[in-house]
Amino acid sequence: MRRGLTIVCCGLAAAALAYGAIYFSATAGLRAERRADAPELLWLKQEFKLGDAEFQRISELHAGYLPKCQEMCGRIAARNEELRELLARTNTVTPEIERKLAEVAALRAECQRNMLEHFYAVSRAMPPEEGRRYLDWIQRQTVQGGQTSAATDHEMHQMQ
Amino acid sequence: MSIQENDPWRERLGEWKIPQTLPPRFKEQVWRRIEQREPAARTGAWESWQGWLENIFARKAVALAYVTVLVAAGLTAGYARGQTQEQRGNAQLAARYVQSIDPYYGSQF
Repeated sequence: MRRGLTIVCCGLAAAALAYGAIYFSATAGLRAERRADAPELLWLKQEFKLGDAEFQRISELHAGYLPKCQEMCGRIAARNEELRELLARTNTVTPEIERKLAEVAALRAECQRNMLEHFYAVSRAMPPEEGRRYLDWIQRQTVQGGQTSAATDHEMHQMQ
Repeated sequence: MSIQENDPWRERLGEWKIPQTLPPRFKEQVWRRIEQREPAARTGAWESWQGWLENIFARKAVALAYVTVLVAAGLTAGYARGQTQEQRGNAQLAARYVQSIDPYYGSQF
């Protein structure tokens, strides 16, 4: 009499098991990336199909670039704060504001030049085709205006 | 139809006495009887459902098809959810990479 009920329960249990198994299998790579010290670099390795030697070289480039980037962040934050203070004090474009805007623009140009140098160095450390793909993507994310994370996701899938 | 003066029914009805008081704990007994019948009705539905299942799964092919469909549905749903999660996670890591190298990431100026 309980055979029907047993089959119903077995079916549901098998479905739940299948769901869990395929879900954990599909997200295993992501979990491994997240456990890493620098998950964003591990993502870069997988996204651009880097070998161990290439990944090692790019990790070194990244580590070398980060202090420069942090120093630049500090300068940008200081200039932005100065500009905010000037903007808060007046309702016209004063010569002082013009000078500060020029400084901010010059700093941005310097920052973008540094970023581009880093991007070119990273792309040269990649296999040629992946290097081109990386440059195309990273330039659109940064010096060409930046994207939202949703757009990033969308673009990465279009690129693949 | 009216009852005539000499109708025997009139006499009988006149003799009919309704007891003025209900038996002791009458209401309680009524409710108890109602409650006793309800589980019986529920058990009947459960048993008939089980009987229906027995009939449906009497054929091995039907039982096998049922389990196969559920497993396939589980696999599809798990894969779809896993893919969505993977894409979302990759987008977050991509944004984190850009953020780590671009001082202007998310900046107003």
